[in-house]
Amino acid sequence: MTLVEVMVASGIAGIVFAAVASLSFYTARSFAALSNYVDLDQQSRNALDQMSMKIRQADGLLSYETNSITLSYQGGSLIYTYNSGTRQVTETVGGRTEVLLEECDYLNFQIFQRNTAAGTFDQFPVTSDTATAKLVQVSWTCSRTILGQKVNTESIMAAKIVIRKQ
Amino acid sequence: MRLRQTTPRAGGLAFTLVEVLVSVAIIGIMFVSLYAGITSGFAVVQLARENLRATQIMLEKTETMRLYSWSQINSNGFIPSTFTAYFFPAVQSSSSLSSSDSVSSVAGSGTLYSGTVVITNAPVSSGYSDNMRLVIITVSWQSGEHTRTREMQTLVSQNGLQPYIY
Repeated sequence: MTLVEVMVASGIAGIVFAAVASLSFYTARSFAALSNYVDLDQQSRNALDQMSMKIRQADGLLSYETNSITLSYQGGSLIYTYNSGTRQVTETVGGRTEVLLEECDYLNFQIFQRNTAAGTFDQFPVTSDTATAKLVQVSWTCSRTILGQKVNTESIMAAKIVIRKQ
Repeated sequence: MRLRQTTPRAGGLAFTLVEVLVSVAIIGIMFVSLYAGITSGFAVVQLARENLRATQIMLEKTETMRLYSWSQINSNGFIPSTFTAYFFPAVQSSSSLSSSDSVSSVAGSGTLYSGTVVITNAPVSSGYSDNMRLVIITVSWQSGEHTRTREMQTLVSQNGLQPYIY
């Protein structure tokens, strides 16, 4: 084998290995993104189901912040709080706290009265008295990073939940 | 006894052109299939995400139907017949109920969903059919080259929750 043959073979082998390596990297990142999204989506759906069920059964709203609400629930209190530091949403019922959602980038609560505005789908926001709150709107985004990048893994949830007993 | 020594001809260990072409073709088919599968997986996940958001939008409209009175349900134009929403929902809120807090606003973005709300007679033949209405909520959106449409229906009754609440 001559030097020229070795050099040509090395060049071709280098190109082939680079292509295979980049394809393998892309494939691994794609599978990681898909599995991350599925996992986050399942987690978010479970959290929203649980949150919706309990807010619907609540007796009324006691206090409100955009990252936390406290409801009167089965003779006690029901608290949902988002901590941007830990990226967790916690649920506290009867003094017992459990993590409802993890890896949460953003969460926002909004509260509205029962009256609806004509010609729109909007309700009037609660301005001062939390006891007039009939509707809780919640939206959040969860994500994971792959090698420092958010690649197609965001799980977005948004819902309006009517407090039935209010 | 005479043994015949069989030694390969010079260059006999190499692959023929046909063998190389067949192997390249097989490898090519394998890679194309692999990445077609991954692309298909991404498309399925994307559609699942769009479906989920469409369900959230329709559920949001359905949930707030219980806030309307019977006269509002039957009032032409009080409930809009069309609406739009985005994949990433718009958010407008203040940090608390205090009037001194600044109001932040984030516009919706992403895929645009267009929806219709049709309120019509309930498909029941009973004597109380006039006290019921069928609400049909439809959303459609553009997903790649395809227009997707999803529909949700619910029944509203005059003597349902509203007289209980009010």
